[in-house]
Amino acid sequence: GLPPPPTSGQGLPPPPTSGQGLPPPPTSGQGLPPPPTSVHHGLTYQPGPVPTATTGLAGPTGLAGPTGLAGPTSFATQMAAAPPSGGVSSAHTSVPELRPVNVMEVRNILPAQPLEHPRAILPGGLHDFNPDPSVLCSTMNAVPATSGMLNKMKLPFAIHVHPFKDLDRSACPVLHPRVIVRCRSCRTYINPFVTFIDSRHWRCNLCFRPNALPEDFDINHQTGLRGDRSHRVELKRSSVEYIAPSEYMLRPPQPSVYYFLIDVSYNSIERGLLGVFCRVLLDCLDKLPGDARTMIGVLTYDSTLHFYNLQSALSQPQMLVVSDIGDVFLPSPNSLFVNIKQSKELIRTLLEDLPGMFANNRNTSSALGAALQASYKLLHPIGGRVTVLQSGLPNLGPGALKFKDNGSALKKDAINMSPSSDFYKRLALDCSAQQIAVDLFVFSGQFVDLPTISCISKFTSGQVSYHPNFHHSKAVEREKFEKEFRRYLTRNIGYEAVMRIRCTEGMSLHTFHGNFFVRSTDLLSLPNVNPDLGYAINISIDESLKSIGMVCFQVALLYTSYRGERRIRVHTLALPVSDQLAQVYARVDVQAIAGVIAKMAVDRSSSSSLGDSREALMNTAIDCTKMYRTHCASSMQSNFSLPASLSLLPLLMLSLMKLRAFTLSASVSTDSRMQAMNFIKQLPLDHLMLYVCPHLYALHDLSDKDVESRDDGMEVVCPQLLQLTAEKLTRYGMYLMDYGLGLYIWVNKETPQELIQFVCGVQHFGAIPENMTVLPAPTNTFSRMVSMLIKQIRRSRQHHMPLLVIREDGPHRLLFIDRLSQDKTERGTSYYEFLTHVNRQLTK
Amino acid sequence: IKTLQSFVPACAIQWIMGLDFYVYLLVMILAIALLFMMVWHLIMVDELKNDYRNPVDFCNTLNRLVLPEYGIHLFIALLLLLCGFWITFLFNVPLLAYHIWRYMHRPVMSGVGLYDPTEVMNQAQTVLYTREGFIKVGFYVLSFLVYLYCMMVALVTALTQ
Repeated sequence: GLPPPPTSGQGLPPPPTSGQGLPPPPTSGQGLPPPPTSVHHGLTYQPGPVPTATTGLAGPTGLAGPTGLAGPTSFATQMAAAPPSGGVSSAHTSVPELRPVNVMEVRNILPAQPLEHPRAILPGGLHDFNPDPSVLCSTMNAVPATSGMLNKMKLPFAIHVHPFKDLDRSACPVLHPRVIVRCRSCRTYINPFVTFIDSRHWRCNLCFRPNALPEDFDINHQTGLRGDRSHRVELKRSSVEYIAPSEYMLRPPQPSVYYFLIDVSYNSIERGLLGVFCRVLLDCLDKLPGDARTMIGVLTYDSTLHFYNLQSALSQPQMLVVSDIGDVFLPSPNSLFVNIKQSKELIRTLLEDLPGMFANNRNTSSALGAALQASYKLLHPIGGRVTVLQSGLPNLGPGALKFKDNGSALKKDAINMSPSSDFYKRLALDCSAQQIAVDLFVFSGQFVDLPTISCISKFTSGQVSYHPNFHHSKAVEREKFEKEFRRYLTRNIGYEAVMRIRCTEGMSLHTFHGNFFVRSTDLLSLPNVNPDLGYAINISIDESLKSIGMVCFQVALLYTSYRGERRIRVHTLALPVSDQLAQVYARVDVQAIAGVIAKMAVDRSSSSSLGDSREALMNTAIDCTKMYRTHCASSMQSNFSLPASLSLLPLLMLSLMKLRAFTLSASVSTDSRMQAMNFIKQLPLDHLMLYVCPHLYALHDLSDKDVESRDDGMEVVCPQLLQLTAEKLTRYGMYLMDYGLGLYIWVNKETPQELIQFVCGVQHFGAIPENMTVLPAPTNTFSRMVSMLIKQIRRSRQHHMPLLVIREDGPHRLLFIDRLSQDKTERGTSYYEFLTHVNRQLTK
Repeated sequence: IKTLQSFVPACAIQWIMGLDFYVYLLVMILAIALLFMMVWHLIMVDELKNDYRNPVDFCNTLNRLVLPEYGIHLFIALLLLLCGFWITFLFNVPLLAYHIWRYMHRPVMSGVGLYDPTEVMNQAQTVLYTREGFIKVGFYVLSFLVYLYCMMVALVTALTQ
């Protein structure tokens, strides 16, 4: 049953009437169109039940138990139910987010619906213009006014940006204005948050200087009439894409260039990598994003480099071998990479013949460094993307690495995540200067020194993908790689890009997290932009922001699309400033905080040590609680109380400590640890949060009450989320876990046979195959609902989500059990023990 | 600061105006050189922060100067030690120890130097470099004045003998 409500629970007074205490909107005829009544960017809110609990009654706390989580309310619906209280500074207990939660006494800390990002509240309804939080969001939706305030909270102030996320035209309109309106001094793009001084001038919201509008700003091009400005899309949408004129190009836009480096040493042949690669590439050859100038090339290497002459005049591809890997040279001046359309037949022949050519290769050396140098020499006039498929330690030629123990038995202090050689880093900087990005796919269970070789991708804005168990005979692994590679080849791509992040005067960018090279204080050079990578930037507050009511961040990504068009994608975020600590606490985004702390911990573990970063994670929870208690909480609350907005922080810190990246468990190899750290640095915030704290659904409880129709007539399944602990799992249940990169279905021995039949299509538990990845077609309502749920989850992500059915006694059970972060596993303590430990530190 | 010349073994040949003076003169000139290097270092860090220089150039230029600077300082310290000026030698020892510690904890790189272009742009790093730069400038100014004083003392003692 429910534990008694916490002693500190206060019944909510009736919510203050709206409009009270809100500062007046900025003066002088804004010229802005009236804020739209219901802006609904398609991706803003996850489907959730209509809030049924109102705050007017003895609110969710009094009735429904601690944190109101036994009912269907979530943080966002609580906020939606409460009127905007942006400027109100009355007793902070009236704000549901600040309701103090005694973390030790709450049994069900995870909310029943997926946690949504809190939204900023701006005067005049400006917050409706803010971008989708999955694209650009901040850790604090009410910015503290001084750095003293920020330091008091001991929480990081950062923004998370996913600039190249796949957005359709309705979410991110494409504009082609005659003149792109930008501020004269700080070069900010015009955005919905600027103010208009008079009909001809506007004031920049980042540097506050006045600017002149172009003559035809008001003229509606469709009607030719001078009208109000409401048709200007850049004033209504905070995520826009401009088609850039020639001033934004340093050189004519480059064509798409794809170059593939394939390791054909014995390791790779034995795994059957070459066959799978050639098959997928042959399939996707026509779907590679690009225009008529697209170019492609292939280089295979083991202890020597094998170039292929693909000139269209030849009747079949010609292999040119370079064996001097100490001093790489290009054997042919051109035609080592060629236009796809002209040499298509030759490329097809090559890809069909490649697996056969190396089928008996017994060479065990791998000259990765030399191959990378060769591709740099080849591509540096143009730039492009290099894809490396490596299946062993590079042990020959420049950049050769020494074999070290893969870390399974190393003690805590001996775990070293820093690169052992800077060859790849220096090469990455050279590649970045020539707009070449390198993506790395690694297929090896043995030591590959991933910390060193992933440097080549980290600084050229590439991505690192690690498949230690890949083998062509293992269907699960092969399918997973195939689908991932297919998406990799066919997804949107941007070339020769730079990203500039601007913020209001008084703040500055402190630290950057992600795969790119920082070329100056706010300019990030990204040779390739990738729709699956996210970035985070820590912000420091240099001066007092009290006089500035609203601060803004603008992320502008200038890139060449795969069609050869130069485009600028601009996202702008506006946040209110608050000088009250209570308000800042109310609008904190705990997921964003956990995301940026994870990235900072990865930095700390390579600059100092793993033990340090684990301690830092623990101390975040301790310090944050201490600071809250010192500054905000009243003395009658218990020692370990946090505001409702931060109540998940201890659980998220514990989950981070249990990730493969930070756990001290002996079964994690150096390479897997490094890949986990790469994920933390690469993934956009939403996927990272799922990776840290997965969603767990009870399939056996699915019923019609979980299905509802959305406004657009579609039906969605939204079952409740369960706590991540085996306590809550029954022996008769079947569970679905969504961990961001894939799905697991857990089947118990005692699950009712009908469920097994409906979902897995087999007669009984023992008949479920070991590596089941595909569910049979749904036959009845129950299995239809299950398949609808799975389809829904898959549709909401752009990347492929592999499914695995895990039996209770199967070999994969640890994959599921290790992710139940509230339990004690070999990766770390249980949630309750963690809380006791933190409590002890607090009472010292 | 009295020079403890009486401890110097017979290798100290006293020729025109005494060895002290020349030693301190040389050391003082080298201290001026070090001071200029540190000031230039500070200017480079400032240029980096204000976008006048990109990190790769910054690191290439400054990395070339690191070992010469440490080498000159080491030379000064050894020279003072060899000539028996214990107190001024001890005055330089902390900085020597700091240099050795710093060089041992530099990021992994195959070339010489302390600066890595990928880590340099974090504000935490630039703040550290500026602070280190200011402290060392202060130290070199102080040591310049110390050597100047010692040089004058040596000159005066030599002249009065």
